[in-house]
Amino acid sequence: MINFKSIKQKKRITLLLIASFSVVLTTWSQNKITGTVKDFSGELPGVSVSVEGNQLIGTITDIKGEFSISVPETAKKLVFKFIGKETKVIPINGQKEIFVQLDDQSVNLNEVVAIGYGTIKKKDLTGAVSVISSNDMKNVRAMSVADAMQGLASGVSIRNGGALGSEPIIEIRGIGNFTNSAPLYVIDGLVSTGGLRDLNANDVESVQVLKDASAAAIYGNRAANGVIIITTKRGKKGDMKVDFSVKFSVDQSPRMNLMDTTQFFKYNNMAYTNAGLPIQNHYTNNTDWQNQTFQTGFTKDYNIGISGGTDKSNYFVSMNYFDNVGTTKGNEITRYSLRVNTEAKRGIFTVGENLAITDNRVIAPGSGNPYTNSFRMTPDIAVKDSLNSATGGWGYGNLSRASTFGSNPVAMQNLLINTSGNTRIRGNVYINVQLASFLSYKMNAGYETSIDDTHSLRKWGSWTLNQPQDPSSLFDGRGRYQSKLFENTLNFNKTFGKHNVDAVFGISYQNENYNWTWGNVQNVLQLNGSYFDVLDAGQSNPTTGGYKDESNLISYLGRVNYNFDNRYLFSGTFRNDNTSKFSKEQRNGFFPSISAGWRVSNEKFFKVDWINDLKIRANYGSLGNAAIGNYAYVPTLSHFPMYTFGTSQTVVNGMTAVQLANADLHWETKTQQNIGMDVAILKNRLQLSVEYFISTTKDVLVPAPILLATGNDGGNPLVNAASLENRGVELTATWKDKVGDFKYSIGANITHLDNKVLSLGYGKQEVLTGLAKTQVGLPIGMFYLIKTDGIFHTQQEIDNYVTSNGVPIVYSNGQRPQLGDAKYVDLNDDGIISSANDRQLAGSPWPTFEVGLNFNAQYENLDLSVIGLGAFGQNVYNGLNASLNYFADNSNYLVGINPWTPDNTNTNFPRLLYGDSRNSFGDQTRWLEDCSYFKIKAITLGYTFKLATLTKYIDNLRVAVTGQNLITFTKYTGLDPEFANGNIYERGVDPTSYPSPKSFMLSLNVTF
Amino acid sequence: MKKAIKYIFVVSLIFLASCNQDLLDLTNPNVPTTATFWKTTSDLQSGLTATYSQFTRPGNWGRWIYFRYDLTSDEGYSKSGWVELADWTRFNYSNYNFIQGNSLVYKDHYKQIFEANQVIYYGSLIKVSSATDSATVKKIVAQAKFIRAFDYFNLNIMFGRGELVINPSKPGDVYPMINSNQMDSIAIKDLNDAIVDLPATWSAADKGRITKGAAYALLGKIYMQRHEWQNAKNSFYWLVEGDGMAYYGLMTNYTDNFLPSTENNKESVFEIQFSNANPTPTDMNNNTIYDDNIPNMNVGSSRSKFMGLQDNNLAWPDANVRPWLVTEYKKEKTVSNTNDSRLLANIFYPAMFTDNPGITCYNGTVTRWHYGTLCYFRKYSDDAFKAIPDYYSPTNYRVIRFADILLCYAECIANLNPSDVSTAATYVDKVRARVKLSTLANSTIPEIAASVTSSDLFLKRLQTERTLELCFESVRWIDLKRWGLWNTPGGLAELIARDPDFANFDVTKHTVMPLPQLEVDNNQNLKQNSGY
Repeated sequence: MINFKSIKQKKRITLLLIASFSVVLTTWSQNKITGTVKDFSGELPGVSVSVEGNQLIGTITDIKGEFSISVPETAKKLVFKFIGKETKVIPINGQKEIFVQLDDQSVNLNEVVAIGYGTIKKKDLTGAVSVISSNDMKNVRAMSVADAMQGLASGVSIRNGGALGSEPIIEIRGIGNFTNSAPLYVIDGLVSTGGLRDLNANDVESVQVLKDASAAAIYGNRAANGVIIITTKRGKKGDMKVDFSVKFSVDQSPRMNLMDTTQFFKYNNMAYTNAGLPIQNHYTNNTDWQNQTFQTGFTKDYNIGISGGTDKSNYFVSMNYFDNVGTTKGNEITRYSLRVNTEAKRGIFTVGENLAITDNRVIAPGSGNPYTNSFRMTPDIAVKDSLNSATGGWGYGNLSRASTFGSNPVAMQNLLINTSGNTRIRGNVYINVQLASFLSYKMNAGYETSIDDTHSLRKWGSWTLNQPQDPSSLFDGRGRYQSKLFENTLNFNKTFGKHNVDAVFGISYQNENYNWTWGNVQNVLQLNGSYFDVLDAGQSNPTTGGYKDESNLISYLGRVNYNFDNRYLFSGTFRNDNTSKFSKEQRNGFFPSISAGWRVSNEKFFKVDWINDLKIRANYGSLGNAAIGNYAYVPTLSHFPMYTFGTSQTVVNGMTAVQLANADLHWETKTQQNIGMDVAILKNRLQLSVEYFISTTKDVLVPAPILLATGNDGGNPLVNAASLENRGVELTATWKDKVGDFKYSIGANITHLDNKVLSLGYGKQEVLTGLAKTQVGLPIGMFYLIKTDGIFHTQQEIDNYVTSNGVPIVYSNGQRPQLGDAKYVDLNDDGIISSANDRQLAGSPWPTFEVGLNFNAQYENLDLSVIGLGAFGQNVYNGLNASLNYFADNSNYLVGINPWTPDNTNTNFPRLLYGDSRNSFGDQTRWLEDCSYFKIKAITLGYTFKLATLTKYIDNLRVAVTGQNLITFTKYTGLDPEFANGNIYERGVDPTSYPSPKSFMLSLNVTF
Repeated sequence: MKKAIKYIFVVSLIFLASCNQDLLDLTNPNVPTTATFWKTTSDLQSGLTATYSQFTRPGNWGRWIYFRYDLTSDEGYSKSGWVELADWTRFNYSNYNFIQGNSLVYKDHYKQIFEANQVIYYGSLIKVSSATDSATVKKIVAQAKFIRAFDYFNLNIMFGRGELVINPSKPGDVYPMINSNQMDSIAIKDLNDAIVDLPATWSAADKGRITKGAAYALLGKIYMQRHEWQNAKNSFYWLVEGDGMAYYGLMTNYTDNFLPSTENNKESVFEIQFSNANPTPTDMNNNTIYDDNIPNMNVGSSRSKFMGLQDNNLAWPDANVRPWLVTEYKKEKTVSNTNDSRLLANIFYPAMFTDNPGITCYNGTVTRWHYGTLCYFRKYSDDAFKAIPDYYSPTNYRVIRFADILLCYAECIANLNPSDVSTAATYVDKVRARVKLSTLANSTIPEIAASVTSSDLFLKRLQTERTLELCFESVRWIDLKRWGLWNTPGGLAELIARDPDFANFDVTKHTVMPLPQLEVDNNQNLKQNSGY
């Protein structure tokens, strides 16, 4: 509030000057006040001390932190300011001597938090908001901001996509629907749907995560998954400052411990012999397919930021070059970015802009998962094989020698060259007009465009057995995304005695559209084996296509924050959205929220010395989700079906309805209750926040499980059918202290979440999806598998393997087990082990709790930071194990397997069988593992050279080393316990996900 | 005053920005909507083309249906390393939602029914302005009705029950269950309607469309499955002895029936049209996602990639021929004392190179046998013109051939008039004559010659005659069902002797496949087939 006043003063400098002169003239030389200013470590010199409301009456503290000031009789309060410290305002109340202790500014409670269409002091917040500062993120080797946010906020689960250029999967407070868990991004006031990859992480000043309804309701229909507000850096008053940083990192992907040819033959022959088949007439090569596939990755990140400003204007310019040579051969991502943020003031006008241009390019040859490709090729196959010269000469499976349908990854890297890229321009311009001391108007116009291209050259040749002998082809696609945002808001802010009202009302219009055009040609012209990589080089079958897509959103929004005496806080928010994505009857949605807070520590009766701040808050509100296709409610026809007619066999296009549509689609609505408490204790050194929330999503848009007999194709049409609930507790604690020259802080966040399906619509009780089942009353995606019960060690056990009626139990192929075969639980007691009847709920993919830890310490010029994250209690289906131990088909195997043989009976690893899946069903509990883990995401050690004493040009120089993903504590045997599966129903299935690379980074930072 | 102006300025700005709610009325610029389509005969014609298009889909005649019709019967089998795929051809069903086994077949047939329903329904609403238009609409609707009847016929054969869908679908639809008889009734009614409006033949540009003869032939086949021999014979009559005679006959060369160069010939009664115009195996590469919403869809058949000689780059190791067929062919020589030419036309068998010196396969690339004792599909393998089979064969699939109709006609006669075997035999003899076999009566093999002495012996012999002429043409499974060979221990033993997979056969359930379990779960009216 007080800060707010001072802000307004700046905007009315002329007026103020006149006013203050008159004060000076009339009330000169009255009371004298003396005192001392300290911080935790002692007396603080250079602190500015002034009379509130009259900056002209002021002084600074001397070397001992002491001050002396004469103030007019009318003066009520003194303001103490020091860079890097919290500003303090002390009532005079007739005191002659005042002692003040200033806290470090980084104390979270007084941060200003962006909450959408405005800011608020964190201490006045009544909603659940997590704040992440650039300082916390600076040490991480991050392709995107999301990478850098990992582990730093409670209730925000970020799991790495692993593959180069893939965006991590972010879930804020669980999963609230079945279509999409991605939050809404607001970058400098511009609502954006992703594309975080294109944002230079070095430009980010702060990130705020709006987690509950009261915080996010201002974004209405798009906020159901939470909102991430990203604020980029701006120039500060002062001389031009140049920040230059260089980061180099060396990255290594984890590998599988696969067999060499000799070992492979032993077990492969065993699998054939056990199945009564003649062994393969193996090739004799010994290829390490992982060596052929993977390499050491290398990342370069150069960044320069130039900033500065005056009282009336500021500027920030940055340039970035980021290049990451992937850990999979041939893969590379390159990004150039430029940003210009400026702002200027004159009179009642403030005009500013943010503009970022990014060019992003990804080269990703081949297709499929490189891990899967490298184990599905058996080690006896050579990279090149002259036997296959008719199909290009690459090595691959052979029906009698190395029967596998694996794809040769080297051939794929050579034969299928995929490149894609985009140029994104993202920016906004705003004008703020201070209409009166309490009223301002803001117009914000945003524009974003992404010019996308995808290019794919498929050279002629085979990389797998029996591959279609397609001619070479070239695909080239061009897309363009555009978003136009236009917003008008009015801000009202006034204090009446102890009443403070802060309100915003506005109108927002956003148009988004996308156009896509592609062409494809075959028989690409080549000369001496090298292809002409343009569409003109296509010599046959040119085909082309394209589409366009558009949506509009018109919204009315408002928020009123009311604060009485810094003790009682109320907030009411609404947004009324109108979207073109629904029919006229359904397009209007209203999303209100209310919240209240009570700052107990400001009550007179509250006299607990060791508690510096205590606030209790509660809120209730609703949010929407309409993340569906732009025209999903309109049934349309497809003109793609074709058929051949006539003696000349001419292909003719037809037209028909293919995908059905529900005309009455409407918003998904999430209502959320949140109660929370913020405490600062022990001289603000320990800060705690606790949140408890219940959120319920109704009318969840789900692809209706409609009947096959409807003839629908192209995906089930959406309906508003299901409902879901998430309940959770979040705890955030920060301890910050200083012992002599040693400063340190420890932050921890813990999240516990209960996800539950309340209904699935259409009276359905469950949805079966592959390895998981989503059932009413239980969390989404519970494992649903056949229970494994070891292997048969004795004939006695086999004889006893009967149903309750004594019927011998057989595998689904009708065969009885033999010694060494896997034993499964015949759940329905029908004597046949089958996926249809014997699967049961076998575990939860949801962690009991997730934690994030960060530690920062500084001693003189040395600093250390550690970021850790973990999740505990979840089960995971180890897809890698399931594949590598699936002997029914050929692939390479893991070193160290110990299968049952008549001579090796002391094991629980079943007999190997080729062509018979009885011992390696994909849907058995054998592949389920406890995936609890804790990972040290990053450790950074830095040293800052204070060069100011040596040269006047360089302010400081920091050198740091970072180790990322080096240490993981887990029993999980897959590649990485921190994986992401984008399929919401199968959240816990690890389909041999790309693991996060281990990396070492060296960074250098120079400030002039 | 100044303030007031400011406020007015702001308020008016906000109203300016808020005015235009019309911006929200966006229409999909990419495709027509159901509401704006189906107004003209050309719209209807487009809808019909799309309905035909479904024939080429993988769950229809593009691929997987052959695994049911040609591999489950005693003519073929699968020893695929894809164990579940092979299991579905040998009566081992563990997962009732196996895409390639039952789900896709069920789905793709109902997709075609949905599309036919749109044509039939909107055809009844369309406003026609002239008699020509009216006739065009009738012809279009008649073709759609045939297709719908054909789908219900095949669903009935494969599943024995289904859901009643005869109007354009809506997402929330829940359909009544229909049994085998009801499925036949729908098909019979549709075919009787279609026969009235379908032309006997089409112009060159429209060759390949459904004809009156095709409708009669399918109607006859349905009656035969019902053992309504008189109705069946009456239906076939139009083709064999009636007005349709002019359009049908046997081709001189047996192999002309399986080549792309001799399509829609006089022997073809109903033929599915394939083309390699779009050699884009997009939908064929992915085993789970089939989407008609992609441009330049593959309109070829992938049968030859799955059913042919198994070698690197040739066919997948998924389909094999039971060797008893080779033995059966070799039993009887032609009048010029050579092997029945249909053996070499239909089967890659171990002695083929020694029996026929100098021949080559796969366009000359395969010249000797090194495939052990196994036999493979040669009919429709495209080996006459392709070195490497692919996923977009242009060879049309002859679903109903005139030779089949002749043999069916014979079967009807022999069932109707047990005493008149000789008339029935004349139709079989026509088929035998083409491949230079003697008449049945004159056969040098005594048991064949004896087949004309009684209707029982004749009908038994006809079972073999049909397989020798029509093997791998997706009729054997239907025949086995009609004959109920598995109903007697002797019959089942005969099947097991020819095809050991029949050891798994349980007559109380395996005459039909399990319905997709998801469908049963989602429709409370639909009950899973008994035994499953």
